[in-house]
Order: sequence, then C-alpha cells, then structure tokens
Amino acid sequence: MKCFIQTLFAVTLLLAINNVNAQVAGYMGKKLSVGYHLSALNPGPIFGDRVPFTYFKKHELSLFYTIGKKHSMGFTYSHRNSQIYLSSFQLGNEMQRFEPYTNLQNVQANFYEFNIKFFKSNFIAPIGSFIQFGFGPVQYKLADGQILGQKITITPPGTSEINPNYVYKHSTTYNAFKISFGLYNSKIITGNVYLNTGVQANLLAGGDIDGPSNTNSIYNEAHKYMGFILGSGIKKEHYFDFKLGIGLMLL
Amino acid sequence: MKYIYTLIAILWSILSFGQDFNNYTPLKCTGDLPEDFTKLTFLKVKEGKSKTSVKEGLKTKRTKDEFILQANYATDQLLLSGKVLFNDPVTDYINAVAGEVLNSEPALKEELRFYALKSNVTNAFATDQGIIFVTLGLIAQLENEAQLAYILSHEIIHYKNKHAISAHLENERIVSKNGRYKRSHDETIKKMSRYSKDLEFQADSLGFYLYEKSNYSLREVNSAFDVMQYAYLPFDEVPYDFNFLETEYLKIPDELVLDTLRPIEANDNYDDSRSTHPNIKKRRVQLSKLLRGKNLDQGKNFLFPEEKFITIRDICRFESIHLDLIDRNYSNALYSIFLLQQKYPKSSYLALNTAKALYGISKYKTFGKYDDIATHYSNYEGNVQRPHYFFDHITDEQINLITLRHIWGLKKKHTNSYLDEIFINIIDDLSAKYHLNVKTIEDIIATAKTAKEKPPKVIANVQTNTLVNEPASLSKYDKIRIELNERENDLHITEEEKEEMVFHFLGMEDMMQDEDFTALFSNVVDAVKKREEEKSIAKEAHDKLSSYQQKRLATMEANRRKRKGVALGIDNLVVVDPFYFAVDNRRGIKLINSEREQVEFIDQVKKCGETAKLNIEVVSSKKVKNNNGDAFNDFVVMNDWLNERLNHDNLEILPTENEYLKSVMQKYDTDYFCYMGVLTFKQQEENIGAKLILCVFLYPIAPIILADAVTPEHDTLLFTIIFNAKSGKVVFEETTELKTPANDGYLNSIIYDLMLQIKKAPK
Repeated sequence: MKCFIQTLFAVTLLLAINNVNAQVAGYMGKKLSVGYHLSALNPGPIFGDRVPFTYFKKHELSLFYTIGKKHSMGFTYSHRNSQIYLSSFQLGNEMQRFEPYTNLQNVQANFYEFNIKFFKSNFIAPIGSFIQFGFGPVQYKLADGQILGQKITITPPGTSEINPNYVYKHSTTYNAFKISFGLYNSKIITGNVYLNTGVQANLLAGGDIDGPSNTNSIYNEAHKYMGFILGSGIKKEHYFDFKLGIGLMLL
Repeated sequence: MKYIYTLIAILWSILSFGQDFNNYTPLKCTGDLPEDFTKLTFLKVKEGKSKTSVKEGLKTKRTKDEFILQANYATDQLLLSGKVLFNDPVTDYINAVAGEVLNSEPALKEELRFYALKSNVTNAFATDQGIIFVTLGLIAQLENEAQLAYILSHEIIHYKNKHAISAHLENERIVSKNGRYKRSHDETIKKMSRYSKDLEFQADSLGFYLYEKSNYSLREVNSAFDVMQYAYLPFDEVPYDFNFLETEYLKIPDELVLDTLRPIEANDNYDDSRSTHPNIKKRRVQLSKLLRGKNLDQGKNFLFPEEKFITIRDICRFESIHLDLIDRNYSNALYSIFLLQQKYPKSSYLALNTAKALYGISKYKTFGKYDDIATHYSNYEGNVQRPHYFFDHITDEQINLITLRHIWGLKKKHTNSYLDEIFINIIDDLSAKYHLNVKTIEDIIATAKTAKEKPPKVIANVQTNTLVNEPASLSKYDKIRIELNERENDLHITEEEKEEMVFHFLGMEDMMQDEDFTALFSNVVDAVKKREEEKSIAKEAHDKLSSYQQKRLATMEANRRKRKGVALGIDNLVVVDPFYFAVDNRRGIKLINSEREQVEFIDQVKKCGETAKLNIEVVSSKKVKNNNGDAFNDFVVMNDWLNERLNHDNLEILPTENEYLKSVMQKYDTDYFCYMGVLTFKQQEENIGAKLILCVFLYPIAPIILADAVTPEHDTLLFTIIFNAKSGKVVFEETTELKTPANDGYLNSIIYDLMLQIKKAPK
C-alpha cells in the first residue's frame, strides 16, 4: 500500500512538472472549479459479504484546479449516510444480550480524497469526458454514537429479565484508506455552470480492528462485535458510486 | 416600378461608361444587400411551406416541402458564396433587359429578381423562389442584347410554369416506381431526361411568345442557339501569336508553335437521350416552326445603346480572366488576355494578369503538376489550341525563364508588390531547382552564341519511354500505347529537341547586362544557398539518428504538441465565414438546424477569441448587415482568395488573388486568415444485435449496454486552418474529433484553447 501511495504521489509530481511550461486553457480561461455531487443509490458492496443493497446518500464537495490541457487536480470531501445491518450481540458475557430495535443502523462516513483527472480523447480540461483517480483517508462511525434496543439478561433458572429502553453507546471512529477510479463527463449547461455525471469504483482498505483488551469485559465483548462490523468490515466495503453533480467555474 | 427601372438604367449607364478598361478593377457589389441575401433560410422555407397544402395529397405536400427546403438551402448557399453580384453594372444591365422582356407581364416583373453570377460557364438558370441567375460567361459570349433577352424569356417561363418543382415531383414519382413507372435504372434516367426535355421545349416555345411581345428582333432567337452551340469555345476566334512574350532577344522557336489547328466541329445533333436539355438541332427545328410566317425583320437587336452592351460584355470578358486565374485555367486566361489586348493594348490589368498566368504555369511546371491544371491541347478546337500546345510542350526551365523575362519587362512599367514577390519566387526556384546563378546563365548564353556545337545540357528532365519494342511480347495495351506515342511524336517535338533549345537563355541577354537584375539575382541565389545549407545540416543530423531515435523524436514532438499546443504569436486574426454542417444519417441532412447552429457558432468563435484577448474579426455572409456592402465585398475577396489557395492544395504558390486581398489585410491589420467549421454526424448504433446478446451474458450491466445500443452514435469534427495571406502558407492546421454531439461547452473549450495557441507568443 505504501508503495502504491508513493507511486501515486510520484505520478502527480511528474504531471505537475510536465505541465509547468504547458499552456493551460481551462474553460474560457477559468481553471478553478467547485462542485457538488450527490450519490443517492448504492447497489451494495459488490465484494463485501455483509449487507447487500443498503441505501445511502453521499454528499460530495470538490475543488479542482486545471494544471494542464489534459489534467486537473483537486480535493474532494464527502459525507456519506448509510446503514449497516446489526443483529443482536452479547454484552460482555453469554448471559447478557442486546437486541437493537432495528437491524439497520445509521452510519456516517467522511471521505477525504485527493483526485487527479485525465481528460480523454480531444477534450480539454476541465470540460469533457475524463478518468478520475483518487485516494485518501476515510472515517467511519455510528451516526448517533449509540444504538437503541433492549438488553436481555438471562437468569439462571431459565427466565430472562428484559430492559426495554437500553442505550448502547458506541462513539468510536474507525479509519480506512480509499482508492477510487471513475469515468466521468462534465458538460456545460449554461454560462460557467456544468453538469457532472459519472460512475466510480471505490476500493477501501486498511480498516482498523478495535480488538478487546479484556475479553471478559461486557464493554469489550460488544466493542469487539462493533469492531468486527464497522472497523474490519469497512475493508470489504468496495462499492460503486453513481454520481450526479453540478459545478461552477470560478477563476 | 417603371421609374425605378429607368433610374437603375441611368445609374448603370453612368457606372458602366465610367469603367476604365486600361486600369480595370474586378467587379464589386455596391449599396445595400438585397433581401434575398439577408433573409435567413429557415424563414424562406417557412414561407414556401405555407403555400403548400394537404389538399394536394399528403405525399405530394411532403415531397414539395422537401423540395422547398433543398431548393432554398442550395440557392442561399449560392447567394452567400460570394459568386453572386448585386447592384453592379452587369446585374443592373440584366435587370434592365429583363424589364424590357417583362413589360407585358407586370406581375412577374414585380416577383422576379435577376443576378449576375461570377462563373465562366455559359449558363442561365431560374430557381423556384423567383431568382434568375445569368453567368458572366454567358454574357461574354453574346453578340447582342436580343440574344440575352431571349435567354431571359426562356428562364422566365421556367419560373412562371414552376418547372423546377414539376420536374422534382415527376422525378420522385419515377424513382419511387409508382404507378406506371417500373423500369430499369437506365430507363428511369431516360424517362427523367425525357420529361426535363419536354419542359425545355415548353420554355423555348412559351419563351418565344413572351419574347415576341417585346421589341427585340425575332431573327436573333436563332442566333441565341449559336451562342449555346459554340459556348465551349472562347469568346472570340483570333489566330494566336506570341508577340507579347517576344523581345529583341527572346524569340519563340517555331517548334513550339502549332501549325495545324483542329477545326471547329460543334456537333449540334449529339445524343441527348440522357441529357436534361434537348440537343441544339431539335431546339432549332422547333424554333423554325415557331418562326414560320413571322416577319424576321421586326424588332431591334438593341433597345439600349449598343455601346452599353459592348461595355458590359467587355466587363464580363475582363472578369473571365480573373475567374480563370482562380480556377487555374491559365492557358485559357492567356488566350482571353490576348483577345482583349487587341482592343485594349494599354490595359495594365491585362498586362498584370499575363504575369499571373505565366507565374501559375511556371509553378505547376516546376512542381511537375502541370497535368493537374491542363487538358491536353488535342482536346481543344480552334485558335485556343495554340497556347495550350505551347504550354503543354514547353519545359519547366524554359517557362520559368520566359516568365522571369516577362515580369522583368512589366516591372519597369508597373509598380506592383505582387510582381516583385513572384519575381523573387521564380528566381528562388531557378536557383534551388535548376542551380542557376548569374555565372551559369552568362556561360550558357556565351556558349550558345559562340560555339557551333550544341550547348551543354543544363537540366535532365527527360522522361524516356520505356515501352518494350518486341512485337511478339506486346499486349494489346502496349500496342495502343506505342501507337499513341508515335502519333504524339509525329505531332510535336521530341524531349531531346526541347533540351537542345536555349532560346530562353538567349532571351535573357539584355537582362544579364542590367546590374540591378544581376545584383538581385545574386542576392536571392545567396539566400537560397544559405537556406539549402541549413536544410542539409538539419537533414544530416536527422539522418545520423537511428530509425528508432527518429521515430521516438517524432512521437515526442507529436506528444509535446498535443500537450502544450503551439505558439503562433498572432495578435490580429480574421476568421472567414465559419461554417456549421449537421448531418443526421438517419433522417438525411439537417439543413435548418445547421443554419441556426452556424449563427451561434459564429458568435462562439468571436467570444472565444475575445476571451483569449485576441483581436478577432469574424467575417461571415450570415452576419453581414443589409446595409454593409463593403463587409460583403471583403468577404467575397477573402473567399476568392481561399478558393484559389485551396485549389493549389499543398503547393507553395503565391495566390494571384493576393493583390486584391492586400487592401483587406490592411483594413483588418492582419496577415492571417482563419477558416474554421464544424461537421457533426449522427448515425444509428452499429451491431445492435450483438449488444443485445451481450446483455444476456453480462446481465448486471445490461441497462448500460441497452442504453448504449439504442443511443445513436455521434461524431463531431472541428476544422481549423490558418493561412499567412502574404506567403499563402498554412501556418496552422488542426482537426479535432469528438465522439459526442457538438455541445457548446465542448466547442467553447476547444476553440478557446485554439485561440490561446494562436495568441501565445513563441519563446
């Protein structure tokens, strides 16, 4: 991974050097653009094995600068609201179980990405069809930092005690690294406003597994489960984005 | 209306008599642009379609609407091509004669518009919209005003009886094989031709009745057919001589002068079974029936003063030279010049055009491309055969020296920068290609004058006949080739004889004594030497590289250009008539859309240029305001220059139109002219079946494949070419292809980038 990131930085640097003397046209002289994208449909983690076809909304803000006739570079910040499937899990020992009221829990993710655009055929940056590469960190956590449900304690004679409004708190933020590759098209709709459409494949890697320090602890047992679902699972959440956005050429 | 015609006649009379043939300048349009030029095509089409009705039947209406669209588009293309004149002496004269013919038809007189068309073809034609075009080539051939009146009468009937649309409807019926028409392709053509000929006979006879009502002579109707019959010949038949080239020192050898000319045959009873017009003989037969019993002495040959007709005809004849030069018909131009010089020996226009024609021939001979512009002399009849024979047989070195000699003579009488430029250009060729310098020329002249033996051979340009002379092994084609070759040799001199000639060197004897000439010649030779040395050093360095290195270098250069573009350092640019043409292969040509898009494209080009801080001027026929005849004339000059320049293809020849373009260059303060346009195609996606099958195997992405299969393919091409008008060289040429529809944003993006490259100063 380290090697891959180094290569990407090297390519970026080369591109920048290569374009030092190049004539940068931009769009009618405008090289800086800001954009907003919305991804509102997710076909689900293709390679993941946990939750098929979860629905999410992703808002994305981007800032790009045209560095050459065929290249643009920029940063993207995305905020994703999605859902994750949780079944009941143990709270510390076999006698205590937590059953969420709903299996689908809201999860928030923040993506920070560095992107490079390579414009295809005879298009001139920043308008036309292009291929976009990106990489950057991802932060993942439960949206509310807690889950509502009921705690079921099984007493020795075989009966159970139910605590119906139990709040399980879990505010840990998990981290991962994302690499993306997308095919896009930017088309001017009027003046300096453009419409962006695209499809992007996202590969996530390096999610941390928040392992328990004490396996007997109630807290750690639950945390282990959440670590498995969120922290480790994020590594497998490779997905496609179908994007629709709008942008504005600024300077 | 009568007063308007009278006023036009008076104005035209002043203008035409004001023509100074000794200092002739090509025809220009004057005053406001007529509505025919300024009204957008789609409005004309809309108006035309409003006159058709479904009552005629849905299919007929559709065919008529299609015809209206095509006819208006084609007519507007012609009107805005710069080839149609308005408010000029010739157009005014045509209108005046038409006014006489239409005295009995006041309604038609109001409807019809007449324009002169800048073409050397002998022709006149009427459009369905009520416009009648008469070529300058036709007027140049006429004997009198009455002949023009009859030809106009014929065309007026075509319009009055709606022959154009009738022929279109009939042709559609024949092609679609409806009803009784179910024939072979050949039969279909013949059937179409037969119908068209019927319409021509009708126009001849009804035109005759219209003509009869005017005061023109009936006798001249028959002579109008003489004009048509001999239209392929020049406007006069005078034995050609080479006095204009000869001096005390330069004598044209008899071997280069054709003795026996091919007689004029002009068959009037040719096979017309596939022609749109009946042959002349049949038309004369019909006419003789109409004339039977008529008093042929009634009417006049001229209703306006004969001098006016002569002046107008001479204008057309002078124009024919200009048009021949643009079309590279240099030998024809020289024959026309010769004919007009009999009447106007002091005309500087004729003298300068002689130099231009000789220069054109010299350049094509030098590049070995003379066959591209010339038809073999044996195809001509009459006196025009002689100049064709001469230029067919003269060698490239001979014509270059003769041209140099002729221009030198002209330079002493006329101050003209174009003459200076072509003079230097020819010396450049003589030095670069034939390695001639002052000393070698002097040596050849001295040797030729003193030595009895044959002078040394200077150049080797013999093309030996490599045919096998063994009859047994000869094929049918070899035998034919040998026979043709022998026939050629019987007719003219051999290549060896040509090489032995030194008359062209001897012709320079007086020039070699002129210090100004020898100094200039030496300077050019030195410059050429330096240039050739630099070239050879660069070539040597390039040759030292391995083929891999050469390829790599070329690839690197191509990539560099793609990535960084070029830097031309041009501040002022004139973009001439940007075009936009949209084709939908599924539904035929999208004519109307093209026009609207073209208007938008013109604005786009201007905006992009201005954003790139380029001083840009877009000159387009679509954007000329109706009160700006000057802008239209500028556009015409630029278009003529471009037509000639494009005719020269990749050959480095200074266009003869440079002389006229200079004033336009000064007006816009630039040497650079840009021609750009968009072609956009839309067609059905190919291999739809295969894509459907693919959907079965790749079902997760089936929607994407299906969307691709049903979406038509797009292809957009943006052409840009920039010429340096001074040198005629292409300084920038690029075609950008996008596999998308012609979206404004994409085009802006590309055009702006182009403009930046044009503006950016080279380092």
